[in-house]
Amino acid sequence: MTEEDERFAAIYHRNYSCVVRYASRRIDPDVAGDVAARTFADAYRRLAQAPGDESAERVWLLGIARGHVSNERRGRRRRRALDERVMAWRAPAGVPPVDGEVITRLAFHQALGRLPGNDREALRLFYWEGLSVEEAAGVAGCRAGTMATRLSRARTRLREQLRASGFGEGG
Amino acid sequence: MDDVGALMAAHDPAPAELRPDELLLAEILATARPRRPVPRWRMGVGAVLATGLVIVAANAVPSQESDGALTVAATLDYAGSAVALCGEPGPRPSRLPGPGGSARPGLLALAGRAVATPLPATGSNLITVVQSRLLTDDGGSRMRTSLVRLRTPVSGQGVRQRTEFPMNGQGGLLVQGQGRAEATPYQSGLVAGRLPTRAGALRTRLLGAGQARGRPETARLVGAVVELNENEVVGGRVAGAIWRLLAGRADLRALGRVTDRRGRAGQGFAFDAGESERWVLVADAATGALLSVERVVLADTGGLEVTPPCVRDFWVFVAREWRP
Repeated sequence: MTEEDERFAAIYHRNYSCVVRYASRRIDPDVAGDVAARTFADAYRRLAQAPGDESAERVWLLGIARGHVSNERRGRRRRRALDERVMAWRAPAGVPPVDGEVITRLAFHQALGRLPGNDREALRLFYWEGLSVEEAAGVAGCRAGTMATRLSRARTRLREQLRASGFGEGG
Repeated sequence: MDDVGALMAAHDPAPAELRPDELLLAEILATARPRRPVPRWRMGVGAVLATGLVIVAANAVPSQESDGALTVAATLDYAGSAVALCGEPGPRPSRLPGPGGSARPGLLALAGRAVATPLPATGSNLITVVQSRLLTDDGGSRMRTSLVRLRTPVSGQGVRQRTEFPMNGQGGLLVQGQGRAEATPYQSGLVAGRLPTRAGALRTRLLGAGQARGRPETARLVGAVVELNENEVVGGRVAGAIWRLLAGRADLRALGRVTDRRGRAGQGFAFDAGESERWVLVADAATGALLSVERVVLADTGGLEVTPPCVRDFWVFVAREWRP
């Protein structure tokens, strides 16, 4: 294994789960693995551009994944039946859903889905990807100040949406 | 963790860590190779050349057609700033020039130049228009551009024959592909020959043409004018009345002399529908005919998933004629 291969393998092992989960939260989980494969193949070709810092490396990879998620969305129009609303109904594997849980999940994902795209993405990057405001800004391609504003606005809007659909805060 | 954080964590669709797929790693290492970095000076030269090509292509549009195929520019040459189509690569200036001064003098001048022509009572309208629209669905946003050749009855009732040719991007141009024809029943709500030519009555008719009521009035009027031009050959008297009506809209501003996607010089007018959208109209200064309409996204207020500024819809009216 060359030095380049070893460096890439280390990046791959550190970030594989993060990239697959990033894709799973935005598109059909069945194709999240394909998106991750394209992301890492792309990253390998662009290895010379990979940042040395591990945190920056994750932001770099998620930036590549963002483009592949967009491509996947464009390419899967024939499978509209598998939209986000259906995804919201899916329970985690092996856990049979109960009525109340399904209704709660549906209400939450509907509220999230009603937010403007930038606000929704800010919440996902900050809470699900666990990125700092600066890192989330790097993935979304905006300034840290802009991301902080979006995040604050998104929290407020999500609370409003949840209240409007009779969803108790924290529940 | 705050309440939103707790909710997000509780509803994370992918909460569990995953083990790396070792087969995938082996496949990537076996089939792909890292590229060598390109020296900065070469990237700079490449960018300059690419920008030059886009500008040349966008400005050399109209007559360069091979095999009878029709082409239009892929970028809008907007008052000196090239703007790409939404969802497509291309220039996106950080700020577009703002709309200029009042459009009223220019629109009244257009109304004066619209030549009155006798309207036929029978026969067909033949319209050729290039349309591009931003389609959004759960899969994201994409542009669909087509050249449409339309034949509609002058009477406003009968059969509408429509042939659509998809257009695909090729080096800064959108090039016509193979066509597909269809015929459908036609019942027009706006028959050009029966429209009033007094501005007040015309306004009532255009606003009643089914454009969504929640939008600004100028947007509804322009939407109705586009719909009218898509389906009917608009005679000089009606065209003049339309420009007189729009001259009364204070939010329409003059852009001055502009070039449309077919390379035709015309008078430009623009208005902002809120902070997120700008409409641009291009009219032939000599005849008062509407040449093109562009709808530019200034800010993504949610749902579009596009990078502004970019053009989300456009109409380029290529030809209009009456046939017996």
